[in-house]
Amino acid sequence: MGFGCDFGLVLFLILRSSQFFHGIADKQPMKRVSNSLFVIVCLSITVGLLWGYNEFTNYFNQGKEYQVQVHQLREQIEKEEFKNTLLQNQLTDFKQSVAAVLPPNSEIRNDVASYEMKNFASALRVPASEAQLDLSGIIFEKGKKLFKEQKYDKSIKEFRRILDEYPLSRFKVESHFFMAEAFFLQKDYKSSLDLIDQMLQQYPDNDLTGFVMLRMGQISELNNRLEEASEVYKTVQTHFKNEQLRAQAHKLSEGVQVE
Amino acid sequence: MRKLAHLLLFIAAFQMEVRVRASESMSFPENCLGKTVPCSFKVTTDKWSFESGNIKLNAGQGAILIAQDEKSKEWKLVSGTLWAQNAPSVKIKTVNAVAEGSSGQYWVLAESDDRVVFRNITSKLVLTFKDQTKLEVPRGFEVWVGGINSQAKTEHGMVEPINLKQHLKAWYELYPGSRTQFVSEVQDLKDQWADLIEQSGDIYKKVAERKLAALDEKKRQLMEIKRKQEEERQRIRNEFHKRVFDQ
Repeated sequence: MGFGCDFGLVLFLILRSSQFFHGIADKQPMKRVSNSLFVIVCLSITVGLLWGYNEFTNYFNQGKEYQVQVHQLREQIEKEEFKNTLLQNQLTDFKQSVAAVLPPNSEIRNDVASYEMKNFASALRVPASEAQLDLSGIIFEKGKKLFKEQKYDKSIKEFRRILDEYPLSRFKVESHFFMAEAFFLQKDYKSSLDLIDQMLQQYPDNDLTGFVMLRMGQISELNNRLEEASEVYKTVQTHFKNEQLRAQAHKLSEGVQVE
Repeated sequence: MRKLAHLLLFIAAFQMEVRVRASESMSFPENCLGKTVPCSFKVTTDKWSFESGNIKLNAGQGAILIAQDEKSKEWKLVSGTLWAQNAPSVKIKTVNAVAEGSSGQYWVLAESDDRVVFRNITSKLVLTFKDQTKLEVPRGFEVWVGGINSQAKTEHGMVEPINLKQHLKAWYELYPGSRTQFVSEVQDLKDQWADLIEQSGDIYKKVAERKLAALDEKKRQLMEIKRKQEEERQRIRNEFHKRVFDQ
């Protein structure tokens, strides 16, 4: 199509130029004739270039038809999805209206005659604030096992899952503790310190916080901040009542003084 | 030379590709918006705004709405975000509740199938749940509403202060004015909502007090019943005593 148009245009230009040329040939001097020729040549080159460009772009846009088809199909899918959403919403609305009319599940009698109604009500209603199934215990055991096997990366992932998916889990403190330990044993001291900080903020009185504080002291020692380490050990000794923890803190603190 | 310039311009124009895009609205029935009701439509542009009289509504991209009333007084939000910038006595329905506010702003966010969040900014917003109970959401507070539970009651959350940081994103996306205007409005709200936490404490206190009062009332009623039963028993005993011994 583009080629046809351009070809017609070239012909049109040549014809017009030749008419112009014949019209002025016997009246104008030679200089004007050469100027006209120059103009025609320029125009021909321009049109030729444009035609070439068109052909070039056409060659690389051969998939255009398919693109249009894909676009049309996408639009069709969007329309179908839109209609489906409307129907789904209508259905949900109806279900909710029916669920509101039915008596509470506890008031539906537990006999054969009411069996269908009970099933119907259960299917329509959401459970009344039923607690989420808590799998944090299983995940915690898995994490602990991986920790014992010294697969620290994997164990960290499991403990992280507990913190993200079960924020009210009773294994939250221990998960924090094991993560801080795992990072420490991997020599990722920065991540370990971040977790220790979190534990200090969230569970300042927990014994496990005391234990990770010992790690904090050790990290300070590794960084040659002996005074800081000594201060941490002293804090543990004064703030926590766990004998084992205090004994460990005392031992570590003596180690710092010897050096 | 002028002719040549004209000619070149003509050629250039001749080579230009002109594309005409089809209409971007998606509605059911087709092209019903503003013509027939009910009309369901999906917002396919960046945002959608509606203004009629003193009603001003805005919706975000992807929102699905149903216009249910010719006078634009009833709308249904199927999914997405709707900002009622000013919608006095307009009903916004969702699958779980109907919101009706006075003049002022409030938001309805139906982001997931089972929960809808209602945020009241400056309106007097009253929600009517599917179980026909009502709840007023104070200014600067929000509440999520879910489906009907096994007790035949609508599940809903505590009325809690709006987290302004979370709200800003949705607000900025639909905000029609300039950035400076937006910043100034945000600052105004921030100042107004400074004591929200305190207010929420008061609300929870009132709710707790109301519950305690209800429990006290129940206890008082039980005591009253017991007292009456005791009186009745005493009366019967006296009657019996009278008949047996006073004859």
